[in-house]
Amino acid sequence: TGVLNSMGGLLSLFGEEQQDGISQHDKVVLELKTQRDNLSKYTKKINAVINREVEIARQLLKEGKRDKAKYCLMKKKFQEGLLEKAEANLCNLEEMINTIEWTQIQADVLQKIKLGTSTLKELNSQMSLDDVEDLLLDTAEAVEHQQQIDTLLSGRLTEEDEADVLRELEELTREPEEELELPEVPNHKISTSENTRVGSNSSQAKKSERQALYS
Amino acid sequence: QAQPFSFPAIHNLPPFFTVQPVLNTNQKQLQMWCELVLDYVRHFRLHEVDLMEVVNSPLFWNKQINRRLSLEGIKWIMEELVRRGNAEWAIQDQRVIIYWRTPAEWANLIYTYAINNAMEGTVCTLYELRESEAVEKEEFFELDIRVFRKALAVLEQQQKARVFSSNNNVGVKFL
Repeated sequence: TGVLNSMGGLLSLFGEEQQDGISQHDKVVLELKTQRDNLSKYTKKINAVINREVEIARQLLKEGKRDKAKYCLMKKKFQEGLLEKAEANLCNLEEMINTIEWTQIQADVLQKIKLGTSTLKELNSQMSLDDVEDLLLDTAEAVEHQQQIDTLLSGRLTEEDEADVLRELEELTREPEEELELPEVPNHKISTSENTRVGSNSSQAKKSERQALYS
Repeated sequence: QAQPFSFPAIHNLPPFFTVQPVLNTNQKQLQMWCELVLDYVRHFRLHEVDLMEVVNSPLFWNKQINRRLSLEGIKWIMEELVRRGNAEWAIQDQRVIIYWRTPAEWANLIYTYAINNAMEGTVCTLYELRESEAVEKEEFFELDIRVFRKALAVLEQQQKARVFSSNNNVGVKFL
């Protein structure tokens, strides 16, 4: 309880880190944890004493010394009372330690958020609304200027391109005429009546045809 | 450890217990004794050796062949271990602390435990780190306090932890 009483004053100290990276908080936590260790050792000891008393009582009963055994058990009862109190204290201590650790985390988070907000404010102050508007205007003017140049250039280019295109077109239309060498399409009639006779008659047909040519 | 220690074959040869005069053999003998001593203390997890006691131990007195290494011989080995960095003379007379595991290795084990339990940025007591139920299964549980402190010193050097005290209580803060 002595430690817990002095906690009031110590808690109000802001945990500034000293040169060796150990803050006042750390020292306080160490003291609390040491108390916890001591209580823990104490409960272990009491438990051992309790177990021993039970053993002794058992032994005494075997020897028939009932009164002495009863006395042992009374001592054990007393020890158990001490144990209960010690364990309650231990509980409180653990809770205190956990609360401190949690509060420390929360304090850290708060600090980081503060930092974040101030950084954000500073960044915002570097970009005033007027500055942004001016910038956008400049950008719009520059874009317009660019577009005008574009139209000028694109007009001229199309004229040149058109001449090229026409030239290419003429070349394409000329090429097919030179390449293809198709035979002349015949335009005389083929005699159909003599063609239907087969075998010996065909040579006679050819003979008469030759005769027709020479006459 | 309940398991018995098995000595190497050389331990049953009488010449092994006499410091050899020939330089080559002498150096070889020294090397083998150093290894044997380290294996022995590692097996039984001894950290400190009292020369007056250990002279009678099975390590340096092989009763079966009735040979023992003299106190001078034992000192000869210990000096070599100190030279190699595997041991250190203790403040008390005739006592040697033997590091079958270097403080740096112990430091690593302790730090790994801290990392695995997310203890960075927190404070813990020396007792908590070395003797509590939480570390019962760890290799460094109940490690010789001097070796433990040396390991913590290594961690401090490596900027991984800070040892500090408050009202005579020793604590460790992992960074």
